[in-house]
Amino acid sequence: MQQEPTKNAPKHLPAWLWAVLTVAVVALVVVIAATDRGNEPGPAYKLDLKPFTKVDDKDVAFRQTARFPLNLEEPSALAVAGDGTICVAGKGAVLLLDGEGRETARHAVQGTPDAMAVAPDGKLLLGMRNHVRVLDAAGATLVDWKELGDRAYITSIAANDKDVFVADAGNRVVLHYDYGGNVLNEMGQRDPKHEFDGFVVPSPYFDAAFDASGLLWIVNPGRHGLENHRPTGELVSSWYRPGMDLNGFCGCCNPTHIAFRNDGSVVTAEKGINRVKVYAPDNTLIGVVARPDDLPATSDENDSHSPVKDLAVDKKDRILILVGSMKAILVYEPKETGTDTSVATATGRREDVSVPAFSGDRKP
Amino acid sequence: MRRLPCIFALLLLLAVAGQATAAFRFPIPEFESGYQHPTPVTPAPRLIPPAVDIAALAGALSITAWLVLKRRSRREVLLMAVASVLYFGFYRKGCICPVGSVQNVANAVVGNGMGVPFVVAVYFFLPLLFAIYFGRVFCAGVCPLGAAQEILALFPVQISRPLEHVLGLFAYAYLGFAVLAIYTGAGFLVCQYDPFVGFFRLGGTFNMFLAGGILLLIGIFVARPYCRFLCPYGVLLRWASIFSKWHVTITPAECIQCRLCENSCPYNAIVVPTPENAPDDRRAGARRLGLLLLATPLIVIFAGWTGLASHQFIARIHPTIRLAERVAAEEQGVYAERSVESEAFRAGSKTPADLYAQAEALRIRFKTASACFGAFMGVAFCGRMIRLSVIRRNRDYVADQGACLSCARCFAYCPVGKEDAAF
Amino acid sequence: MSKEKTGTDTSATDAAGGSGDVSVPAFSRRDFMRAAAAVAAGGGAWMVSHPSEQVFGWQLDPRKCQQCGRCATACVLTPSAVKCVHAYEMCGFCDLCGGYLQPGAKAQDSGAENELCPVAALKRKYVEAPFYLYTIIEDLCIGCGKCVKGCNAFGNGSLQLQVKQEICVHCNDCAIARNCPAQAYQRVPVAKSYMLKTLEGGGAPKA
Repeated sequence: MQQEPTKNAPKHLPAWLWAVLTVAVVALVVVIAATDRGNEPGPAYKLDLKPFTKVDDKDVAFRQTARFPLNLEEPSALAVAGDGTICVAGKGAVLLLDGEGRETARHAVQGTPDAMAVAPDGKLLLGMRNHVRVLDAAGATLVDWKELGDRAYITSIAANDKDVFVADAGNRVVLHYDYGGNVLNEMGQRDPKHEFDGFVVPSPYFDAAFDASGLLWIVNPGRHGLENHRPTGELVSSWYRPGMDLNGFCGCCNPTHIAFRNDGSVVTAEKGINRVKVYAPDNTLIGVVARPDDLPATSDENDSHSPVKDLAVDKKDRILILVGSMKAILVYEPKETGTDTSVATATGRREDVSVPAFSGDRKP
Repeated sequence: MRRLPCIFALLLLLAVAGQATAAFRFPIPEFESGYQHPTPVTPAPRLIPPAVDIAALAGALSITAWLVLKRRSRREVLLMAVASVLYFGFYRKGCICPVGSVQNVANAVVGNGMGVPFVVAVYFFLPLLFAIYFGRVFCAGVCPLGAAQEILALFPVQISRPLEHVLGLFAYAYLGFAVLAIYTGAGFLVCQYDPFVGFFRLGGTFNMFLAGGILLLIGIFVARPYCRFLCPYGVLLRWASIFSKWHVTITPAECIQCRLCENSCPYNAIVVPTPENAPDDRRAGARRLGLLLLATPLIVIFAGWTGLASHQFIARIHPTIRLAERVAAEEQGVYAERSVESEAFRAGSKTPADLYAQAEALRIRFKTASACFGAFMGVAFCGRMIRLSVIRRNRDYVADQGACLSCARCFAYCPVGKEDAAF
Repeated sequence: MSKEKTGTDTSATDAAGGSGDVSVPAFSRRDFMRAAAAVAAGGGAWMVSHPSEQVFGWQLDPRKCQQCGRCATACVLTPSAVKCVHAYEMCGFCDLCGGYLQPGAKAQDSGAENELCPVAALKRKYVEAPFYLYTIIEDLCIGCGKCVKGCNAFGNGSLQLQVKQEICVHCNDCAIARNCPAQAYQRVPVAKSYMLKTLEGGGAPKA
């Protein structure tokens, strides 16, 4: 206890040393404060999708000519009747609009239809998640077709004068109905003979539509393209175009919606990068209709994926885009009358122009 | 106050239930090969039972008190410090710690009212209880922050007493500011700016590492800079220790005024005897004290006013205020680009008007808090001054019970042996 | 010993108590005050504490998360306690995975130049045509959320950031919560400490 205690005793320092120390500490503190970069992660740790949402003006071939605001909550489906009436389904109602967007009738519906089609005789076919409901032209429920089970998620209906095709995203099939509500055929079984692996539908976006010549086209979203099927389910032709660039369909599963114009060109909507484009019958890109900036996503988690709820082409060959976040239909027409966006009439010539944007080894 | 967490939990449950009602099932693909998808791995937390934590703290405090008061061994206290750094520091990664618990208690009283877990309450209270009876034994060998600095105080120098007192006020400022941050919901600053926890966790921001490194470097010469000049819990311990019953004494028996210990304390915690023959001017002293007492209310009011006047500036510590200012500036076109926060805010459902209203409500809170903080600093300053002005008479070399960290350094300097205590 | 001390000097500590009386009774006023202070402090601590209090941890709500990347950098731990967790039941098992491949990747394979993850923590395994399984190597994952953003933007959002509770040190004030621009962090009872979007929890979007 008594050993050399003074060895470790605190010593006094001269004043100048204190001054130097103080200045050094203050300087260090200032340097620390000035160089504080915070917690901002570097660019390697962030995914920036902005560059992919930029669209050149020269690629835009259509312009917005009208906007029809809707007095409707959660608009979800759009269809155009043979007489040019625009039908919009949403939460609890179906609205009928004339060609200028004026509301002419309103039918109350229980629930929110996810899909809708108009039969040539004016009957409304509504996709009610797991079954189809048929309304007469006055909006009265005629019949509910048989339910399709728990997995069913009807996302699209296409109807002509005798057939109804119902796209069920949950079961990944397209059902061929007659107007009596009988299932004639189920399309979507794997068919090795035609190199068809079934529809790849990872999310509830699955559309089917007739083109101008009456052929049935079904989106295969997981394959990023369109397939032309016979009513028997047989794959006739297809074209796939995965890719982030303007020319392709981005993400895991696109396009989400399609609609055909009278000239045979197809209008496509994508999610992820929200954009609407038009492809010519020979599958070349004609141009962009609506850019990502034109289609605002809302903060609603369910909406942010795809503000485009449905697409349609009306009697005057205008493109109608149902935008959920705006509660409106946006109407687009070709940019200049001088530009001929219509490519020769659809002759039904459909080659299997599968343009793989991804080449090489597709095995992991 | 007790009900708030229950309500909170209920709201949480409701929120979860609300999400469940929005249930939607989109099935995974059907695999023809019969493949079964794995399940996500979500392991439960590894929690140390509260009893273990409490026993560890109580045990460490008791052992340190025994080493300091009974064994009077500097070496053993240092060993205890090493053990504490290893357990409370490196093993428990600096959490749970009584220094941070100040904020939890403040939060329960003046903050959002969230309840303090029982362990945290014990961690806040137990070192104070020990300080009331045995002095700052927590600082001596239990606190991992203090212990780390104690171990590294290799070449201590003495700093002048006036400087010591001025720097000591920073601890009050830190405590006051930490409580202000709790009251306004700006965060737990003491945890955020803990300079040494990065070393314990072997990870942290570069700046905090730098700050901690600088403090440790300074600490080699100016012993325990964090404890003396910054630690907010140290302020409370100081006050508890002032009243301690069995505080350490420099000498185990009777002081023989040999002056050997005079320079032994690097913490300026040894009170030297009042010179018998130097007639302090009692009248001048009394006059000074009187003036000081008269000036105290003025100083406190002035300090409070200064705090109030700077509330706009202080309010910027709150992220919501910063966001509101940023959004307002962006609306006026000051910035070309939106910040990450602003981008996230705009993606949400709130409007800028909502945000401004929220910020305004917060600013009012900051007004009160800043004024109180200023006044508190005024009180702390005046208290220090008054304490320095009061003439104290003592015959022996004794420990300043408030400042003494019970580090046991001075024992070795005292020539009086334990055996002398009998006489 | 202490009695002797308080008797001999008027003690430095008397300054706070004002003029202390010199005569010390058996149980002094100071003893009483000390006991009272101890009881008050203990009682106060007991009052604010909640013996039955649930232990709370931190978790982020993937529904609010905006994948800014700060989970990787703001955590007091390095690497972060936040990791990507894969809710497989929500996954589309896509070939072209927005969370796995760089946007604009030249080929759809596991070449390093095509991977989105900066630390190659996301692994891809062939299941059957056309499905692929994506798993996260947790030891590599730094929680930056790059894949989460890709998955949310283009897929079902089955890749999600979560605070791994066995790694988290349960700070008083979560450093990531403080830095989260989306305010996605909240205290959760540790019994229910994960907030994964699941099939039951309403994950995928409506059509």
